[in-house]
Amino acid sequence: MTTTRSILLVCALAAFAWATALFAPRPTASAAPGKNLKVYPAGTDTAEIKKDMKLVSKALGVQCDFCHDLDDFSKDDIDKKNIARGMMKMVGSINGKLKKDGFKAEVKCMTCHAGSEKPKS
Amino acid sequence: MVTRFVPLLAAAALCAAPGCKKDNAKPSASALTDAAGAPAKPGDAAPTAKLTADAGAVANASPDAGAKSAPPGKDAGAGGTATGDKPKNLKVLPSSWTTAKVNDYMKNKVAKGLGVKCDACHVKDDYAADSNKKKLAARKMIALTDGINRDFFKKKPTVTCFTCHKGKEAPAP
Repeated sequence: MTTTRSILLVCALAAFAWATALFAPRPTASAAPGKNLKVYPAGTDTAEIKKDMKLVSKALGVQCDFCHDLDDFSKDDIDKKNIARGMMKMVGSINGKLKKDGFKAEVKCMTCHAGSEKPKS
Repeated sequence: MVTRFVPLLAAAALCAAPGCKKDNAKPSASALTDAAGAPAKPGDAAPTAKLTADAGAVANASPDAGAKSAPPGKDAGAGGTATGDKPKNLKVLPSSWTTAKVNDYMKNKVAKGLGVKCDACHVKDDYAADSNKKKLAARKMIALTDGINRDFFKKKPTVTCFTCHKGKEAPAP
């Protein structure tokens, strides 16, 4: 009795996993490569960039409109966007140097900004 | 027999789910550093070269001073009372700095920034000695900080030890 129950349960689980796999949304399939990329490698997926941008906004305690024109995110008319680009290049450079110097630690936006737009120095 | 197989099948089904695979294949945070790191590389070479050149110049000037361990040096290293003294064994900090200036920097920037005392990096009897490994790491960190300020903040001392360390020896991940 218990064996048939466990079989049923496991089968139900397997069926559920299969069903969720079928109907799960696929972000990469629908997403397109980002426009006007200057720091990210050309052709980087919008979904991937969006994931990073969420981290950026959390680290600085800001919303998308801090750097982006909400009607067209690829526009460069807000100066802060270019500053952010410079910051991303800096993070890459710092992490490269840290690795070269034998440090295991890496920096990201949160390391310095710690949730505020301007880091305390 | 059948019961043994079914969990295996279920496990296989779970891992074969596209959603599951996707999550495994794409680490989320590394993308940012990778993306930012790649284009920064070409510009990277020049600053490091400059840095080593600077460090080399200071290193060339300092070995004589570092080799002689005279008594006034000890006082200068430990207390910093003699303001006109030349610090010994400088490899990253400018050779023009006086002992007082080095002490001020060490106390107000480095020690405060990391929340440590002098003995975190220095041997108490001889502050010029390099026997503590943390001192070597600190040199690299100072050079890194200098490089950041030079390359990204127009040489203004914007980034300090505290900017990342926030008063702790290991910065928060």
